[in-house]
Order: sequence, then C-alpha cells, then structure tokens
Amino acid sequence: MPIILISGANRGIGLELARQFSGDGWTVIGTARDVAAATELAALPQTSVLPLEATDPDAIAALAKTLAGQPIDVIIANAGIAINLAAKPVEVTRADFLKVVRTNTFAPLALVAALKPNLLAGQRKVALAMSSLMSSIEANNWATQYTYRASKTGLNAVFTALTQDWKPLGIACGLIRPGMVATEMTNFNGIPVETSVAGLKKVVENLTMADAGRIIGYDGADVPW
Amino acid sequence: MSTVLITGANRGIGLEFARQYANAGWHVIAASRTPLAPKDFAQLGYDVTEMRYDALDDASAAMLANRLKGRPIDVVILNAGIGSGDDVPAEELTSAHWEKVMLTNTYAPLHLAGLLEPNLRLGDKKVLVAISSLAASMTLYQVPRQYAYRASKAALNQMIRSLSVDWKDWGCICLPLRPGRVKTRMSDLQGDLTPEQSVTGMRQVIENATPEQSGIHWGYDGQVVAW
Repeated sequence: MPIILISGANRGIGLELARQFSGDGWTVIGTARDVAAATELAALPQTSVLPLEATDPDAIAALAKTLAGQPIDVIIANAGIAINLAAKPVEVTRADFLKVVRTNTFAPLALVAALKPNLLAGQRKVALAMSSLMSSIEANNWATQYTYRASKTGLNAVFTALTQDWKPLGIACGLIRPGMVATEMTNFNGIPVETSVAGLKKVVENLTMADAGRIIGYDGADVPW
Repeated sequence: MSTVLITGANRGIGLEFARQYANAGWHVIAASRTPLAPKDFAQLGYDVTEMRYDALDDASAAMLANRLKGRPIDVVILNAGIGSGDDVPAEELTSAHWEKVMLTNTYAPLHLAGLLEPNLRLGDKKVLVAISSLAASMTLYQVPRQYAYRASKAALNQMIRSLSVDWKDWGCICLPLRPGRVKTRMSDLQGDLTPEQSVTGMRQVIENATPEQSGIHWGYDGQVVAW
C-alpha cells in the first residue's frame, strides 16, 4: 500500500486525513509539534508519529535524516496558521507577517524539498500543499485577512514554481483546498471535516502528472488563481 | 497641482517616474533609502521633496508618514523592491533570503499604504500603485526557481487586491502594475523596454484608471495580466 506523509497531523484536517488514509490501508507518517500530545494520531492503524516544528530548518533536517531511505508516495504539507485575521493594514505587524508567511508559505516548500529523495524513491511522487480559497486573488471580494490571504497566494506561487522545476523529475506538485471546514481555526464554522477530507482523499488518489500545478478543491473543482 | 509619492525613487523605474511626473508639473515626493544623485536631483527641477525611506525599517516608514501628516497625496507609487538575488533551487532556499524579499516586496508596501491612507483620502485622484511583475502570475511565468521573488509579488498582488476591496468605499483605486522587462540594474540591464517607455505606459494606465479597474493587475501596455 502507498505511504503518505502529512504535516500537522495531530488535529483538524491533518488528523482526519491521517484517519481516512490509514483507515483505507495506507501507511501514514504524521508529524506533530508535540508528539506526546498526539495520542489520537498515534492510535491510528499503520501510523507513525514524528516530531516536526515545520518552521524550524533544523527540525526539518532531523526529520529528513530519520526518514532517509524511506520511500514516500505522497506528501501533504498541511500545517498552517492564522493570526489576527481582522487586522487593518496598519495593524499588520512585521512579526506577525513573518510568522504567518514562514509557516504557510515557505515551511511547506522546505518540507517537500528536504524529502525530495523520499518522493523520488516512491511510486506516486506527489507533493501537495494545503492552500485555501483565501489564496485566490480573483475570488477576493470581501478583503480582510491581509496576511493570511497573501501567505496562501504566496504558497500558490511557490508550488507553481516547484511544479515547473520538478516536472522533469516526474514529481507532480500541486495545491489542494479543503473548503471552509469546521475546525478550531474557523471557530467550528463550516462543513464537517469528514466531508472535506473524503473529497480531498479522492483528489489525492486520482492525481496524476497531468494535474501538476493545479489548485484543486475538495469538490474536485479548480480554484481560480 | 497634483502630488505623487514614489518609493525607491533614486534609480531605475522609480527615478523615471519622478522625472516624468516632475516634467508634467507634478509635485514629486521622492522617497528612497539612498539619496538621489546630485545630477538626477538637479534634473528633476525645484518642485521635488526628497525623503528617507527604507522598506526594511518600520521606523523610517513611520517617520515618512509623520512628516507628511495632513498633506494630500494624489498618487502613491510603491515601487521600492528587490529582485530574486541569489537564485537557488528549492533545497537551498534560506530564511535569510526569503525574509528580506517578502518584507521588502510584500510587507513594506502594505505597511506604507496603511500609513499613507489619510494622505490618499485627502488627495483628489486617490490612486495607489504597487509595482508588481509578470513573476506574480501563476499562469504566465515560466522562469525556473525564483521562489521568494515569485511568492513576494503574487502576495503583493493579493495585498493590493485586499486594499482595493477595503478602500472602495472612499473611492481609492488600487493598481498592481507590471512594468514589463525593463533595462535596469535589477534586470542586469537586460530587457525589451527602456525605463522611459515602461513608465510612459504605466503613467497612462494610472491617468486613465477607473474604479472598475481597481484590484486588477495591469501591464504597462494597458493589458490585463492574468493572475
């Protein structure tokens, strides 16, 4: 069965992804900042939990070392944060901006780049990052969330660049959109996480090189850039 | 008389904006980290105010906004930016590199736009311009690597789009503009356009911009740049 690595797998969408893929027989490597607290994740079948603070280059290097020689079919860089979504332009601080961009835009790139040898050793060779409808410039007609939106638009740009660079290697990169899911991040407003993840799982399972560079929603539809 | 503020006005596209607006009889506020060369300053004529502005330094942005308090500004051109620099594969990208690019090209323009909102509100034209790039386009750009640069310009477009939505109610027109491939230091003097051609085109876009065009990425040639 295929092997999938999911970052930020200890709660929310990440945990549900781990649950549904492992439930279907996949081998799951779930990462969490605090391994000891990731008890739900650890209890899943054929699932291992590894520590990762996604914004720490040393932690990423350590993860890559631990996983050296281990083929991975699919990576979903899922970990993300939102800070002070209601901030006006002048209220967006340099520190908050950097923190959000570090986690949402560049940590996913660093993760898949560090695990490139694992992807190359895998069968499916799929590297995905969790984007959002908020990444869409076209669909942005109610503003707010300056930094969160920009961080996800930046993520789209980064994975678009990666798609172009890794295509010759046979690695399919792409972006997925979970939809508005009822999790802690959304104050539990939105669709049930099971529904979103069931859709995302289908997207991941059917993904081929022809889909590289797309941003695909849980409903299978492309999100406008 | 109309007033324009230009960041990164000491060279390249910024300097050309200053030159053309000054020639057209505008009052120019030239904000840059490095002072204008004496010969450039002399060429701009008497109605130019030079101010220090370093995109990587919030204190300098605050000082700039403070000195301009109460002054109407018709057009703000957020032009200061940096290129892709050491262009490396994904595995070699460092936080030192991307932080500088994202802070300069994405955070600083939003921050300064926020600080100058009162000045734009006082101005007649109410146009906010951010110099973007084809590199921001997910669908059109095909140059390898440049991860941080591409992210910074795509994210900038999103910031400007958000501003266009939030500031619509007071009539502010927010435009990400693509200068085209201009022969400047940033492009190692490679390109199809002189700064003069590019800026002439962009000024025309700015001059004719309507509220319906706000929040859309326009090229120097008046064409929409796909996201």
